[in-house]
Amino acid sequence: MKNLKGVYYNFPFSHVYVEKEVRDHPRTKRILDRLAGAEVIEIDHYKDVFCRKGQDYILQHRAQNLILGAKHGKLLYKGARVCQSFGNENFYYTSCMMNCVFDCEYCYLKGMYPSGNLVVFVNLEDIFAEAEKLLLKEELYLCISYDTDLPALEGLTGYVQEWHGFVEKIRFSNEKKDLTVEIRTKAADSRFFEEHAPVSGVIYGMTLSPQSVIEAYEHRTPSLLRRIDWIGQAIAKGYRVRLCFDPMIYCRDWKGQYDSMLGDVFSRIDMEKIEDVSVGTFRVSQDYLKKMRRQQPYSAVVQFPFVNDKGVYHYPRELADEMERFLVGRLKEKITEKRIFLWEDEEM
Amino acid sequence: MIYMVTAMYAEAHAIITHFRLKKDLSHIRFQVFDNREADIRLMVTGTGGISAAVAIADICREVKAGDFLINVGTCAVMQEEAGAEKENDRAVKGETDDGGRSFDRREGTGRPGDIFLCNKIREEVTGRTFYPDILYRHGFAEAQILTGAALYTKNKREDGFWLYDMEAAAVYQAGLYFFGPHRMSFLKVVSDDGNTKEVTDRQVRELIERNVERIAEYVNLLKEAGRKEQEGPGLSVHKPDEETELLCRDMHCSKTMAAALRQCIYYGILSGRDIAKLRKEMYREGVLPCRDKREGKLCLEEFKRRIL
Repeated sequence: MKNLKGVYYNFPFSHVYVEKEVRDHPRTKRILDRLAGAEVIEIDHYKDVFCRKGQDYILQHRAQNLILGAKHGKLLYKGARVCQSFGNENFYYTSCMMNCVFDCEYCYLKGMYPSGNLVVFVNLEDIFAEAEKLLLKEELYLCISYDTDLPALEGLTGYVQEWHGFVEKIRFSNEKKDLTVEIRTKAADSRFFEEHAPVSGVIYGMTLSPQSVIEAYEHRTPSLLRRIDWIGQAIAKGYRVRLCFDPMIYCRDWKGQYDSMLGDVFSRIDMEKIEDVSVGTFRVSQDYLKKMRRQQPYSAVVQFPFVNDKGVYHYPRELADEMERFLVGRLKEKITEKRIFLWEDEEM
Repeated sequence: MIYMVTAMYAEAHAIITHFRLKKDLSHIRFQVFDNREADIRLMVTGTGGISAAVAIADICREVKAGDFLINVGTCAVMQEEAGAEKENDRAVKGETDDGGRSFDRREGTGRPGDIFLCNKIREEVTGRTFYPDILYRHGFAEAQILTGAALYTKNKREDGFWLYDMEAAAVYQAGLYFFGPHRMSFLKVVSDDGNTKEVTDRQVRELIERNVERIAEYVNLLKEAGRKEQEGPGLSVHKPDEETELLCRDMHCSKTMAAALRQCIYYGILSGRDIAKLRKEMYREGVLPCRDKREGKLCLEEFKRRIL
């Protein structure tokens, strides 16, 4: 109770809400074992806690709690309009977790979810089963870390390891079509390599931003150099790595900042060994931005005077083009154009 | 401001004394005590859910962001089914048959005077369950409480719930009109195990008195946290200053243009741009004031360009 350092909030995951249905699930037990001091509260349905009226996403994120539940209904979704498909026809994503331990001011999750608490769906086997069903018919490109950062929670959930296992299982199956999984992350924990062997069907998408952007807006995330170092190690160990310069964030000296970032990337990473690169300036749906602005009234990154095109807010077209052109131009010095994926919405 | 509600005066007495609250005689339907300096207001609502809800609607009309609602009161500890007591003793030690974690009563034995912060509230009549956020640090044991419409009788059982009161669920539901679930706390002190009629006012006073220091410590932490959370430059895009309004006028802004201009200025301020200097430059250069809306549109684009 003593508050000597002005710390008012509980530790992350001080409280774990557990759906009755998954109370005895092995993954529930495994996660609870790793949170020995947490207060465990039984609930009927994850939405009883996650979707309550009047929640404060930002404050909840300061003392983030965990909700363990089961996901039912549709488990795999077709990729959204604002997402990069990397030329894949059968582009799907799935949410085995909702929300993230990192705290990026511009993150659309702040606009999408009613709660800052983190939901982990423990019935991964159902998601695997649905993916297997689809794989009987067609190849699948599946993003599994869109609405969360799976590697950042690996110590707690072990989900990356489980996905590795699933992808390997599919690879050795004669009946199933190819599966490629993308794991988007900002986590850069090198202990990861001690416990995970590279899997050919898994691509790690590391999001990179200039250090000034990281410091200003990407709270609790690893520094640029740590991310670059992680990428270097991953490539050396045979992982497939995608560099994601998406979202590019505007700041007054954006050109200098992104140029300096690329300098660091090029000097430390063998770009020939990179799978591919994704580039896109910040964009977000109008409903999400409205909420994000209300929640973060003093955040310059969400208060930018964006342009609204058919329900999607983005930087003024001229500025967005200039930023993307600049980055693509610099990237082309080191990587062939066909490996650079620029996010473009034909409707915009 | 910390809004505190108790059902009975006996539950409020120690808090009134501790925080030196004075009776506010302007309230006629409920007893209200406050201390403006300490930023605390306490209301004695009367027993039961309806009284609590009406009182909260009455007292909370002026709630501001950063305020909290705390329900302090006594409660009964529900009796356990035969065999459950032994099971709970094992749970306290962290033992369960399957080697997993217990979901039931894990700490606190529920003796008179034990205080709990409630993390789950169920309304007995409707079966609805509410979850106040427990975001702030505290030194209390946590428990789940059942709110009933009548006094606790020893035959009542509800799986996982072992505290019983008559107000918490109503306080939560009424409070939700004014506070988010992260702004409401429910502190309950065990007074009995069903022998309610034997509990005297004096005993209730003593039970709360025994916990008043801990309650006060928690109240102070919430006050400080609430104050910190509201700190900021005090700006709002929805409250433009006089000079912004002059700019709107001189650019002949339509409503849409004015909104865009305000957003632009707001972003400029947050990004550390010198808006006053920029505005003066544009007047000095003759870009402002504009003759008409058409010229104003071009001027707005130029203004945006300079801000970015």
